[in-house]
Amino acid sequence: MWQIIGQDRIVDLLKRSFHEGRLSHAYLFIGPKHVGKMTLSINLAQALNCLSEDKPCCECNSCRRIASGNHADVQLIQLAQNSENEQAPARKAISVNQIRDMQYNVNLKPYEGGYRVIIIDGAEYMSDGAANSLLKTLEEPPPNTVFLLLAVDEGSLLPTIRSRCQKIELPPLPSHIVKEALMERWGIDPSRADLLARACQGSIGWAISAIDDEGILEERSQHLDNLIALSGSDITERFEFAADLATQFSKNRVAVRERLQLWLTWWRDLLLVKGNCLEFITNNSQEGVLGQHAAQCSTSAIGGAIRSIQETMQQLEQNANPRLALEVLMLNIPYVEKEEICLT
Amino acid sequence: MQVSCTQENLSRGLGIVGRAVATRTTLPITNHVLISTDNSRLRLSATNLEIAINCWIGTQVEEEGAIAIPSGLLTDFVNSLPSENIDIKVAPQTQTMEIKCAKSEARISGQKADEFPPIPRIGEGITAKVDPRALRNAISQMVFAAAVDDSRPVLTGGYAQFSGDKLILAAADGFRLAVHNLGLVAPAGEEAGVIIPARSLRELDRLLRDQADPVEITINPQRSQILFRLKDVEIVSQLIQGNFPDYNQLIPQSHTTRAVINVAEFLRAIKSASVFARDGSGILKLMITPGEGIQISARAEEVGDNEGTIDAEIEGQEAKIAFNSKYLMDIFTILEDEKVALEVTTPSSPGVFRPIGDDDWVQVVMPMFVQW
Repeated sequence: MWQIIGQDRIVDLLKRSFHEGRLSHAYLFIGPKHVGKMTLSINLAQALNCLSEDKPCCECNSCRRIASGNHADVQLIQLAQNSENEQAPARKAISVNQIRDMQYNVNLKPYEGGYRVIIIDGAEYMSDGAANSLLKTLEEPPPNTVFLLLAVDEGSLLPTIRSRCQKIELPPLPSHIVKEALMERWGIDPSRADLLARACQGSIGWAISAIDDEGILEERSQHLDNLIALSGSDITERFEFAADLATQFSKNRVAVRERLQLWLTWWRDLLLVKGNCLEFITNNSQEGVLGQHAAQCSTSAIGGAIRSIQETMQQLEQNANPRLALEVLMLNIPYVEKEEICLT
Repeated sequence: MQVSCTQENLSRGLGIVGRAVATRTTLPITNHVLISTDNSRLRLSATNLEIAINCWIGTQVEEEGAIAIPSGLLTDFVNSLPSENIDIKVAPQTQTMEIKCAKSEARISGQKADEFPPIPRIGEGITAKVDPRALRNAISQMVFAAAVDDSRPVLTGGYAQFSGDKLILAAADGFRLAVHNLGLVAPAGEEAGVIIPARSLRELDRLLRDQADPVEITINPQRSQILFRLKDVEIVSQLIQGNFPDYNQLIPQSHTTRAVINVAEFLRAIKSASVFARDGSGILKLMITPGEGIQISARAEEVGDNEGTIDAEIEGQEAKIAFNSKYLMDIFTILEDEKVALEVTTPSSPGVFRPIGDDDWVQVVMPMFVQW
């Protein structure tokens, strides 16, 4: 049973190649975070090493050990934790030594006699040295070895790596599929499933982790409230907020990037509300506020805000001064009357 | 599971399998040791996915069972215990191992035994038997020639070729080649050639140290693993994929100069020359003059130089050749023969070392290009 949700076309493709014995030696799975790249990889590794007839069964000893990360022939390479100090942040790149260790192993015959599967999670984080040392192995792979490279951003991979892999794109899932899956497999009640399905933006993994962790959703709605408050606040408050956010950025880049992503969804929703497409909006918990903001902002103002957020994200990525970049963003966010919000 | 054994036995067993426990690994369970009952004995197993070692120790088994326990922790604890009886108990629900010895008690949490990677069991396949002393000797005379860097994986291992009642072990790294022939006690049923990782051969060498009975060798039918069965210990190694180059082509068939040298004397001479060669990119020059002997010299720019002459029985023409001192040292420090023959042709063709009388082994070393 393939456990991945919603990616039927890809599963069909892999199934067919698998049954015909024509699997590629290397696949590059491209897709947003939490969309199911790892689930797909684990499934494929299980199918290759499954002991029963209906592969993958997800129940035999081999499948279970692959799922728990204890299979000898399925190796996961990802950003390594700093070994000396557990408190220290994870390393920023997959090092060439990690790749070399793997290369030594793949030259041995598979330990359990099946297929050796090497999963490189976050292939875009490979250092140039690591990526280059992987090239030769990718080009002349040992028999019975399958490489699975997982990446969010295809563009940051070396073109030489890309051209040596079969590329498979995992698109974000439509929210109704996520909703159904949440209701069927996890038994979530419809209204909550709807909320999660919209908020996850096609990344079902996010929704699944939010099921157990209330904090994730709470944090999200708090960030939204911040944004709403920001729209009605004056320049002093906005600059204070920008300074806070800049401090946060120096500690945790990812969190700030996620927050800007969330802001994008808000302005997108405003556009949708303006266009009367209420069924597609992401933040439907704040529908009332959305309506009011939409009434006050012109389409061009909303468009300007979206452009400004995107520019800021790019500038932050290119190591601009975070405080300056965020202050400029604050100036470009349209002002919305506070009093009107308070009425709701 | 409930067993009792002596501290010495358990400590010795853990020491043996500890060699195969993975230290730095992507698979956390491989730094565990699997402890399971096997009939009336206790079996300890460990694997780093390249080498797997099983070791059986005598125990009193009260109740069967199995568990995987972190190796370092268990070994350190057992080694710290007095040499008395150890009682081991495992509660299956909690996966915790209780160890009692004298007045000391410990609980170590482990993992389920079926999470442990299956230790290969090789029942059938190509089997042969070999004398442990001869095998050790052969391994020590060839394993140093295996390549250290991974750019050509097939060269990082030793090639083992079984044919009839003979076993040929060979290793090469592109600059040198070592081949050793040895006889099998029980001939192999089939011809087979496999590449065994050098690390596994070194581990095997270590384990063979106190072994007297013939070693049983089995290659599994898929030719992916090789098993060496010793007394109470089994070592299974993964094999390296690929084909070993045809090394017979590399051994020169003819020569123009042949010098018979005394191993101890030559070793002394190259040792003193190596002191200078170390600073001079390892170059060691040999001038072979019939009727006089071999002059060995090394020079390190701005440091100094050294010259030594040794006696040798030389046939053929005068010859000059330069070798890397490290390669010569590797060979001569392990040789047990009293005298060996050096065969050379030109300064740019390989030098060959052979034993006198038989052809149990051959060492081929590529020369270095130098200004004479």
